[in-house]
Amino acid sequence: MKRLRGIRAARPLLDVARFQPKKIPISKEIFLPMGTPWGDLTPLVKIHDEVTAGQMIARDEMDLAPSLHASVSGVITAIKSCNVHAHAETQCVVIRPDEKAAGEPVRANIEAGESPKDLAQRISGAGIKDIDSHKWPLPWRITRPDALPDALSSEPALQQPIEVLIVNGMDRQPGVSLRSGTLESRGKDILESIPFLKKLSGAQRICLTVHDAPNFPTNIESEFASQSVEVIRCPNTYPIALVPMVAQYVSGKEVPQPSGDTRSVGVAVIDVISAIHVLEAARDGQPATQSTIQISGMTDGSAQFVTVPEGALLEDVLSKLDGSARNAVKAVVGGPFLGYAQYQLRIPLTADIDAVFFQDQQEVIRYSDDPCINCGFCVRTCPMALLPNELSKYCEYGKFEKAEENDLFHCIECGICAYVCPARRPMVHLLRHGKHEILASRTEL
Amino acid sequence: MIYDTLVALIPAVFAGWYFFGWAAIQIIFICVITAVATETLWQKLTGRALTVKDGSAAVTGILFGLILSPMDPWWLAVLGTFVAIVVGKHLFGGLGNHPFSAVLVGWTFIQISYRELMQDFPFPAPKFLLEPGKYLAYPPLQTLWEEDVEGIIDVPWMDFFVGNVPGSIGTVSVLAILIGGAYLLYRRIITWHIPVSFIFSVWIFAFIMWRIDPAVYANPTFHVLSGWVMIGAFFLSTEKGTSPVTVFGMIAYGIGCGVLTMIIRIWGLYLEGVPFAILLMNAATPLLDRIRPRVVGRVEEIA
Repeated sequence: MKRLRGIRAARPLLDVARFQPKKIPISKEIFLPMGTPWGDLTPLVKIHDEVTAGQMIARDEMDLAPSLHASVSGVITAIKSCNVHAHAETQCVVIRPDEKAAGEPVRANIEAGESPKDLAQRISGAGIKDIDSHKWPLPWRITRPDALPDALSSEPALQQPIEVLIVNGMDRQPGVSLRSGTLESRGKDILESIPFLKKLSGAQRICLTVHDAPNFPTNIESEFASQSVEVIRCPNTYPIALVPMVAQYVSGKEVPQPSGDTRSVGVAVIDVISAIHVLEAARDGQPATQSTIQISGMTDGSAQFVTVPEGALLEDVLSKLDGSARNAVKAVVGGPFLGYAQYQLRIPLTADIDAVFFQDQQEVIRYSDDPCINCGFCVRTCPMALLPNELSKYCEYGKFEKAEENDLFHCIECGICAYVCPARRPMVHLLRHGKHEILASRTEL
Repeated sequence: MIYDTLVALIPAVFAGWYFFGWAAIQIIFICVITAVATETLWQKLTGRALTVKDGSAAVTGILFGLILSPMDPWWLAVLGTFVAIVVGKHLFGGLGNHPFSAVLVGWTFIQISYRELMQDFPFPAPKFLLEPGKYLAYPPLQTLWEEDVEGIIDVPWMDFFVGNVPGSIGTVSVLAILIGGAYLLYRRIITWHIPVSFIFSVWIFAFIMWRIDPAVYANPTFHVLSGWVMIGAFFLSTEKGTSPVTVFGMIAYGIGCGVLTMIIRIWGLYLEGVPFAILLMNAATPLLDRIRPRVVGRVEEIA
């Protein structure tokens, strides 16, 4: 097994007793973005419509991208453009919660003994969104070739049988322990989701990847052996938990970039949180509308876990927490390594967010506009074996074609180069800027 | 990062004081003051942001002091440091942008201009524990040059290793440099590739020559333990911005430094090959950096 490059990451000290996500009731407006990486959804509702929690309010006409469901009962007040955390603007459905409108949550009827194709269709209707970025949406990413819809049957990568299905229980980045906590507190649910995943994927080998920590989560090997799931303890490095890395670590096959399509090497990856959503959709017919988020680095430095309806505004959630982010000067949505710093707190907490990270005045590390000193620290640690020093210079001085020639799009934005840079250059910002400029120039043509 | 380099230089400075007394400290002090003052003045005059706080000028000063002899005139130290900071570093754009090791640019300037003034080296006079080494009257490489192999054959390896020989302040003590180098490696400021390939290729090259004719060519271990090889391998050749950053580049660079060192030492006009070898390889660095590692994920997509 080839050693993956990266940095050592200490296992976060997870106080499992504290992992009891607090449900936050939301009274203000909810913003549900209709933009997805696979195209924009079509709204099924109009302004002033009343919706109930779980009702489908927007869908992909091709039924490929995950559909959108109302996360609260209420009234649609607007369908308008707004900013989401990754600084993209997208059309959002705005719902004002209204207790009177609350009816019974919409639930589907489930027939026993359904075929993989029906199961996939039903899960597709649950609108499960991933935290990680993937080439294909759920559930098609983990669906066996013969159960795919016609629209995807011409995709060569998806036509390959799934050799390995990886259920990823590793936290994405240092400082975030959402998946570890989920694994510890909801191990039973994950175990229960395995038969559905087996049926859906038809995979011979199912692996659960967890961090290498002694006896954590408790007895996990013996519990998952009952479903013949192989538990793999991965080294405590970063970014091993990111999709192309974990796929390479488990299967030994390099995932082609820049597509990052693990299916083209016969690997399907789903994380434990999405696996629970799959279970809820498959067993109960319940759409995925609630997301659990870690909010850390508040004034006392502790981490809190909250469960909020998808699309709740960050400022609204913060005002309901004890120990507010009074002294925080920087809010990073998406976690310390992979997140985006925000210029406002009116940001909807969408389902692809796993962590919000606050820093106060003393903790903020200021980037500099100093030139690169060519120390090579980033070259040594880049998990994709790129030369981030050169790429950052190309992007800084507008030589985007040169950056693209040098595999800028292989970058997975793990943030290690910025973390190790002694000149404190804003490495990830520069690389994202370069990618953005290249993509923008392509759409202009 | 640069403060770690300062810490790593402490053993070498201590060894300089231990063998050559306060005169050594005085020269190093002059160089550091000159380096910091020159950088401040230059940045004030050119209207740039002051970067003295990053410690790189102090590192240049200390390294410059370490490659001088305590018997060199003080104004030569000032002149050399001035050239190192202004010509070697700031004319090219400052930290990280200068293609050649600033220290070696300054040293080469005074070495070529004032060679006669730089040929006096004091005898080692250890402060405690050791007896002064009494085998050599001149630095090891000069002895080899003037007296051939017989001149150095009796000197115990231990004298070379701890630095009990005449020579410039920081280059005599292999032990002190190794301690500093180990610290740099431990702090991951440098990786093993450049120092190991540098030292190893010096040894291999010298070994081949020695096997050809031991009466003419010195023992390979002598070449590794004498002169500038250690300080060159751990401090001068690994300077950020002047050395390659890829694994292949670093190893090729180290081998190039080692081979050129030996070629200059054996067939060149100069006694010491290390500074010129490093300067030449500095020039090759941009080329070596073009040899890239294979990017992860560059595999055939299914068509």
